[in-house]
Amino acid sequence: MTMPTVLRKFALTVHLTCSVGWIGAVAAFLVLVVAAMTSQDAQTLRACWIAMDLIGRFAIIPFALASLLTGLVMSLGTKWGLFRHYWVVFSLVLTILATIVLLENMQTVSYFGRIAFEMDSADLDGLRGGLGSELLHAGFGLLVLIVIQTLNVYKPQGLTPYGWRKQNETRNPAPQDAAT
Amino acid sequence: MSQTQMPVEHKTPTTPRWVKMFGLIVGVLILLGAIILIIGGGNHGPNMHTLPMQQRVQQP
Repeated sequence: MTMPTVLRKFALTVHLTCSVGWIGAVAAFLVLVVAAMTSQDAQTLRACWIAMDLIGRFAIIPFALASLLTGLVMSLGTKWGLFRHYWVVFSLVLTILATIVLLENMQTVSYFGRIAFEMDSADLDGLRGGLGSELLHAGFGLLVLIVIQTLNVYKPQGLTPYGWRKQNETRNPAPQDAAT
Repeated sequence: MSQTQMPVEHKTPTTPRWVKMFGLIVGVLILLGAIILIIGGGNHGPNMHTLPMQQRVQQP
């Protein structure tokens, strides 16, 4: 079932906004990680963890979930389908994996954000210890999101066996279908 | 003669090269992630940091 043009354009606008917003929010998160890693100031370190927690919970996660949801709507509501083209399948798999890793990693970020908010001692080694993992998660996450974005823009050719079958059914309908 | 005019559409195409390469890379990366998790003893997430952090904070 394909969506009417007006609805399709609206859904595409929402999907693009969420996807690009996700990339932008992860980039902002990455900036905070680097700022925390390079700063010797304790207040900056604490502020970065608190900001990372806020960006993660109120920007990255909502954008990620909305991007996944609108992506499903876009693929199911257009000619592309969900399993017909390899680029759509890869986009879906990578988006699901990125969302799972994000939700898992945000537990760690929220934990450190809470510690940074509550603690007032000068013992900040623990906060510094978690930054390496965040650099890896955010850096790799950003790379995956850019790959997904590239796939969505270029739409490289390649039909899955399911997509090929569906295409043949459309071109050469079965005799009983053709008769109706 | 007529046997050579089979409809081409019914033959499933070969998987494009980019799909094979992309699938291989994604597969290797997923495997790598799984190995890192296993080497870490499955101790991933907040628990990975909880004990050392609490010990540090509780120190006088």
